[in-house]
Amino acid sequence: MSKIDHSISQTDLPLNLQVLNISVNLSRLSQWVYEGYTKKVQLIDKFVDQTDNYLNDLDKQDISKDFRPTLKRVKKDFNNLKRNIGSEDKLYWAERALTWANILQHRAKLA
Amino acid sequence: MSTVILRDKKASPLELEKMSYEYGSYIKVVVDVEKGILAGGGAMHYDEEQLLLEYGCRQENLWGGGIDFTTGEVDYNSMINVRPREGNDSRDILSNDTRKKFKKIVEDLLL
Repeated sequence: MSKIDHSISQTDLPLNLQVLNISVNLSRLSQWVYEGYTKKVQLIDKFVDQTDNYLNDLDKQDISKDFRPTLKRVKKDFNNLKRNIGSEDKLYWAERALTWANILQHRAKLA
Repeated sequence: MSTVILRDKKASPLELEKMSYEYGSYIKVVVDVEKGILAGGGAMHYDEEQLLLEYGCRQENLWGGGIDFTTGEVDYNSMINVRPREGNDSRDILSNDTRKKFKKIVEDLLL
């Protein structure tokens, strides 16, 4: 049986852990973007892509109806964040990402 | 603006609805743990902090976090909490005493 590369996909993990991993990524991205996008471009882009994959994968799985509205909202906001990642208002970007990290940490158990 | 400042009185249903505009059932808050004043509902802790400073609060008494009405959990995580000179070098509120005061004010005014 082939092992899943968790740097790309984490669909073999329990749903709550998948959500917590997304939360951790958002928290990391918050810190790095706040410190300056140009300082860590490759790392940030890598984790943005990974987070995007994680979110899209989650959307295809059998998550609870209690969690689905949260997933819909975080995906929408994350798409906006992706588009504005190099913007000058890094504090806004960082706060937004950190807020979603906190929300997902609270709601992982609902997934 | 969806930020509401609360002091002494629990939030009304209308105020809670206003504060829910940004993130639905998650509300970001900044609390003056000495005066028992709360600013909540904004998109950014930074803006809520500025409001309370203009309101006459002192920065060393202001701490950020959030409350998730979906899970009933309070968190103590915010970029405004990083204050190494005051012994808090984390985005989390590290002092147990401050966390207790923070939680009590949030619950008294919002739950």
